[in-house]
Amino acid sequence: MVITGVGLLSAWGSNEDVHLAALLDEKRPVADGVSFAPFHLVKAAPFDAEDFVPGRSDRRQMEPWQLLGVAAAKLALDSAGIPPGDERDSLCLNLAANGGGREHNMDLAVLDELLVRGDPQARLVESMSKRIRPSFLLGQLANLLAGNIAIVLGVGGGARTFMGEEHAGVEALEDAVSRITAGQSDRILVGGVLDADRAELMFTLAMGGLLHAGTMPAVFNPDRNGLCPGSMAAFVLVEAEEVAHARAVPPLARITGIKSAWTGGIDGQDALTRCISALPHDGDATLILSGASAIQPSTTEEWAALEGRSKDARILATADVAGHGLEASFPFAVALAALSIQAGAAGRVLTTTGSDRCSVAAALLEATL
Amino acid sequence: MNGPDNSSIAVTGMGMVTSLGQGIAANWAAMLAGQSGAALVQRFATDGLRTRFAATVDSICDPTLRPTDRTEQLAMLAMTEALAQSGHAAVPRFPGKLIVGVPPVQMEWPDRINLASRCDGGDVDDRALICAAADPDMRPLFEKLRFGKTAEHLARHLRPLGMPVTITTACSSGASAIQIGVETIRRGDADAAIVTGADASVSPEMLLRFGLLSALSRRNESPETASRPFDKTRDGFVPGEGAAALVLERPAVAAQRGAKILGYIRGVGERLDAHHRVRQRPDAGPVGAAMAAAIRDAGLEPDHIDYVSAHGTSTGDNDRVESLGLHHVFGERTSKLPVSSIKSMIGHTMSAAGAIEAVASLLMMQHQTLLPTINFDTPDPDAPLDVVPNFARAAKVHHVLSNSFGFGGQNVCIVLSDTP
Repeated sequence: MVITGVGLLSAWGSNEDVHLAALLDEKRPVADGVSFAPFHLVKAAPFDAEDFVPGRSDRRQMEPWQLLGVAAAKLALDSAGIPPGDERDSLCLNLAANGGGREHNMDLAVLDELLVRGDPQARLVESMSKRIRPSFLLGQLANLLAGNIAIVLGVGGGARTFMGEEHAGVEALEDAVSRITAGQSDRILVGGVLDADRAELMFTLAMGGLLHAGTMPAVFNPDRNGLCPGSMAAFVLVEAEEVAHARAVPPLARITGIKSAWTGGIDGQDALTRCISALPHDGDATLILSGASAIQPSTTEEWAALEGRSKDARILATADVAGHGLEASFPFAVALAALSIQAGAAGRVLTTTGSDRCSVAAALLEATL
Repeated sequence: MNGPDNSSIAVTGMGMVTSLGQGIAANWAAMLAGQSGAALVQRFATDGLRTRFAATVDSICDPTLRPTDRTEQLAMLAMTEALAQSGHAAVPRFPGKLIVGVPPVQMEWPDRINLASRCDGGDVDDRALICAAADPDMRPLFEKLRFGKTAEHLARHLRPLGMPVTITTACSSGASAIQIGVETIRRGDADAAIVTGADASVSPEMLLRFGLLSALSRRNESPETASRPFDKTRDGFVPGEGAAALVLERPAVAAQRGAKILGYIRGVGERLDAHHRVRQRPDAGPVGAAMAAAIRDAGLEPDHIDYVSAHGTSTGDNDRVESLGLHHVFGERTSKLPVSSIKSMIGHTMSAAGAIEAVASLLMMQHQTLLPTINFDTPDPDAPLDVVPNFARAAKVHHVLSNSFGFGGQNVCIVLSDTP
């Protein structure tokens, strides 16, 4: 099982080398601490959507999170050398997304009107009817990222959209690896996307007490207590090795194993340790990319599971690179791992993730030689 | 290299709840009698809405429950019934994978209003809203807004193997959940899976936004006749609520523990339209290809299919495209092939539909009886089909094709059989 293409979009733009340099040089992105003070988020660098979605009508019917996802999916297909046509027509998608996009200004106007005039429930339909657009529904459905990728990029094989925060990103990759291993599929585009600059997402994370307030130490700093969401889209094209070989495409890296476990919030350190130990080579690697969110206690548990595992292994938190990508965090870490291997920065990379309380996962990637 | 395992997967438990009632027995009796579950909505005020009716589940009537809570309760009811039938209910943990097809989660208006009313100083803007959100009083709402929460909560009861899977493919979600369960067992990752599709999305905003897409029927004067798949006078779908669950098992494992096998999932197939966000591709190419893929995966030929459980939403777009897709696959035989849509009785249950219709298909084989398409009065020349009009029909039925098509062009088809 190999990765033959990567597509990334984040605060660092869409260039793979820039992402890799940001990771390895431990650069920090600029966070927006004003819009939702005292909390922070990291926005994606502006990009020209027209470069990725040429049709104006297509762009008009897409929300920001969908544009991010389609752009990164196109980057991954281009980098893997899958041109429009038959190869895309038979391609499958495995995505992790949360949907829920809204017209926030409309919501604010409706709320303002309802609260001022009183009797809010009875006025809701009237107040919304004045403002709502027909395409409103399209930003809400999580599976409409798949629909947009299919329409804009001509992908026709099938699509699964997994939900459930961090573990949705794990499931997207694990389902793809399992199907390809079993011969149920030979090539799947796996990706995740997060638009952190979405008010109701920020409100929801605030309700959960999950956001770090004030100045922002690094993810594994003991003074850090909460996440900083980051807008990103991360895609990898996963192929059976012989399929990639047959079309003479040099793989970036091989996926040698992926393990996940459901903890239900109990003893994440032990569960993650067992996942890592179940990987080939006992999960031993020279570079460890942790998708830890900076939520406690799971981040401390993840650090404890990683620290001292592999002598001389360098441990980096991908949330320090571009903020935490929730659904996209695991695909983002895996994409960075593949790029690190391709660039020769590491021969074997362990990627890990623990969600805020429910699941843990680890994957091992290595050079194909 | 050998091809992948395409073997049939046994169904050992089924559960269902719809607007027609709770449980397999109640639903089968009502559907056999051709009853409609559609009615004017009582749960909330519908003033100002163009569509004021739906096929809701009214046994769960606590007005403080949000759609996401109701979805979880419906899933739990269906799963409890399916587990009991499978004989797994007494086991301390379910020995297989949990796969849940549900709609995306979002904040609802009562929550938004509650949050806004907590803003200091009266100004409702992002800064004020996020401060109000950070109040520890809001923590219980956060629990409801997690995208994987239905599966997480169900997993606490069932303690399944590995991570519970939450899948959304719009109105194909229930079928996708079954597909993932079948693949998981075929490749040996588990001996069993419990899969569910559940949806209780009917709310004022939902009626408003689907109405804006001109997708909903407006027959407010007679809700029970509003869902009329394949009838020329149809004017849109009727939103429905419900859930179904199936316990899937490797046949040898089911036999070994002495479980009764209720039928088999024999084939699955999927294709994307890659055409339009809410309309189906008019040439019906991908829809037909998904049906053909499921039949091929089942190791059958189109001629083996005795009956089609149609997606049949009662929208002009679907009914024409689905009919054309059937003609692509079944050719001249199509006009004689029985095809019905139980959405005529329970409305379009969206994320639940694929699972509910799979269970109905197994029941039709069990009873050797085809459920009707009610409200079928005026044949549509654009959809020339034998739609089993208005009354159930005795028939020899051994292989069923069940279709599910969703927004975003997601087409998932399943073949169910009474033999492996």
